[in-house]
Amino acid sequence: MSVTAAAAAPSATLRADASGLSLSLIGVPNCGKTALFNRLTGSRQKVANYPGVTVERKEGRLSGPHTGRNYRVVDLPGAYSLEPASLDEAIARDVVLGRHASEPPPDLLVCVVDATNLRLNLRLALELRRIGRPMMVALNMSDVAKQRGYRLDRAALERELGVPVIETVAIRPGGERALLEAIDRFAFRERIGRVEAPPPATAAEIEATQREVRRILRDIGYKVPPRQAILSRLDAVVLNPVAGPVLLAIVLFLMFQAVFSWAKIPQNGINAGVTAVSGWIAHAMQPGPLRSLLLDGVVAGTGSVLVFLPQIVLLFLFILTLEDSGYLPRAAFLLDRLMGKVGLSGRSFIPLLSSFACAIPGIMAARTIPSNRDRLATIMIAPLMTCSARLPVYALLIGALIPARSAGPFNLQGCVLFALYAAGVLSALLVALVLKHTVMRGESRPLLLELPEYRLPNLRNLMLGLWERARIFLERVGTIILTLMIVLWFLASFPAPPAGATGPAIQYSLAGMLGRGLGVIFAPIGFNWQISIALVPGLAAREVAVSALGTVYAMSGSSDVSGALAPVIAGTWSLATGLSLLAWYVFAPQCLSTLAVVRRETNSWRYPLIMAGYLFAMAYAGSFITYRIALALGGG
Amino acid sequence: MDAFAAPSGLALDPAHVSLSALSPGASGTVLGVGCRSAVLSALERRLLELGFVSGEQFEIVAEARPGRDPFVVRIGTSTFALRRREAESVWVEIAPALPSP
Repeated sequence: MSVTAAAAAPSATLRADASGLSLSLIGVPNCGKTALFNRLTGSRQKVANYPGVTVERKEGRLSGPHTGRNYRVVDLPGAYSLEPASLDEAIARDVVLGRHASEPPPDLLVCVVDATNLRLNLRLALELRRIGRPMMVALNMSDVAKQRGYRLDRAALERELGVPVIETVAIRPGGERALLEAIDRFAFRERIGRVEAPPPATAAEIEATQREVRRILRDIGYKVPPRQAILSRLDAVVLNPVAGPVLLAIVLFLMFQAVFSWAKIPQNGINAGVTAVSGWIAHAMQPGPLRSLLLDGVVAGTGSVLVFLPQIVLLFLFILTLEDSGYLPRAAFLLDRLMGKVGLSGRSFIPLLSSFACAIPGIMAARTIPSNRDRLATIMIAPLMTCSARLPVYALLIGALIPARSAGPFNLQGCVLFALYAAGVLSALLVALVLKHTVMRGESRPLLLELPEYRLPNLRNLMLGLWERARIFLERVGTIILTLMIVLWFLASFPAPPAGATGPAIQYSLAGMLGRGLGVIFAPIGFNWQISIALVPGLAAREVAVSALGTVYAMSGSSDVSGALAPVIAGTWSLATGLSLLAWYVFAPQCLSTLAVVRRETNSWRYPLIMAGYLFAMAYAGSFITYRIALALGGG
Repeated sequence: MDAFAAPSGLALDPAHVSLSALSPGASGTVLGVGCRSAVLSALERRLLELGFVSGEQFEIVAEARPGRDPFVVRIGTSTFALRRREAESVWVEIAPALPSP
């Protein structure tokens, strides 16, 4: 209390210009820091990347309830210590010390500590306090702590630490209020610039700090109730060497099942909407170039991708739920041995699972892997996890070419889909094994992974996370995919066919010429010129290949095919061609955004070039083999 | 138990072992990490920071198959998964087995 009063006292050195104050949230992983950040900033946040290198950055704004001051809040990556063991922690340290190249030194550190695990959390607070920046401590999860019978004296902790300590409940509306007011009352002084890093602590010094933590906990009367028996029993199953892997397999299987069965209803709704819009345009407008642009370019192109939004949202719902519940690190533990066989560690599991949604967050999640070698190997194989952008392609081709009959107790289409996912995972393991024995030799580094306490996922955080992903997807549809579709429409429309031409107009257009040129390269693997055209815009985003096929066929067909691409494919492609394209997309080298992220994350052209090269080679070889075998078996 | 090389400074007490040698169900008290004389490795530093310090209570919770590696240790109020090699330099005193009732 006395500290807060002293800090609030008027002082000659108070910041005259209190605008643009910056706050940094820092804490150990799993302390609820990001939930608190979401609570503080609501939807007024943006996810960006630290320029030049690595790491997702979350920044938000908030305004003081009393002073109306505006604050910039940065959610730093979780860090156990200022002595970094991973790229993530190095960035947190650099920002805190004020020596990050593109981040101003924070005016106030908000150290978030988990009230239910002060033993682990308080050491970082003591380490941060030594830096000498203005600081306050957010005693997070204080509601859970009280309910479960933890005992601690907040005022005593405040006296011990010498900085304001504020109770917060990140998961409840209003649980951030006290912190918000404390920030607003805080007497900001002139910003402290760069601070020198303290010399690395010796073993004796770390032990002394730990003794200090334990003394403080004793003096503030911190009492921890025994762990709930149900959580121990849960761990006994989840971590069991037999039951654990079985449970993991069930969870993953359910996840992929749900993505395909639950998404059907909203997908049908979106399809109906797209059909209604194109029907309305077709009636309201006179036939002509503009109507063709809108119908064949805009609606057919974006509509065919938009329909996959429900699946992407569902996939992220599963991944975010698993992440929030504390299950993912346990799965990483179960898989450590298996992944060790191909030179990775269990830590690679989480980035690789994220890559099923999209390789980009997966590649960025790899920054939590302490070993640089493991991190690079994980990044290199992340694109082999079938990302959600490939789903549209798979779903279209399977729907068009594979009969919807049952194969034993299973659905044949579902089995083919599972085989495609499995092919991706198996080739990833194979590539990791090759990397281990060639360019990335050496021992795999430590696993040492915290298994945080189980938690019920917070609905609000889930929704914010889902909204974030849905927004990114919709922005892609609205910007890059829309643009590409319009460009493709022009390429497919001009030049107009010469008078007296008999074939479809697109054959005489630029796109037609390009497609025939590329067709020479792709003919050995069974791709026709329409596929060859579609692969080009697919470089920018894989799902665009479906839109592009939609546009190409809409432009070349005699009738309107928007919304009905599957029957056209079923009628004109051989089974061998379809299977070959499916095999191509297992490896699908064409995603420029992924390559750009790899370039940024690894800070070199070496890895993205190797990646593009090996993916292209595998895609071509995979398609060639598939096509030839299918032809030999009579699939021509 | 005395087949284990104990660091200098720790008594060769038969109850003093490396954490890496224990099986699920074992519990006791941490003595320390590494050797006083040797330079602290990055891993040992992290273990200390995470709470593998003298006097802390631990329990082995689980181990993976095959190979019994990695394994899960509950220390203080936190739980960690680590490989046995990583736990080699953590010295512990195992609690005497409780007489069965």
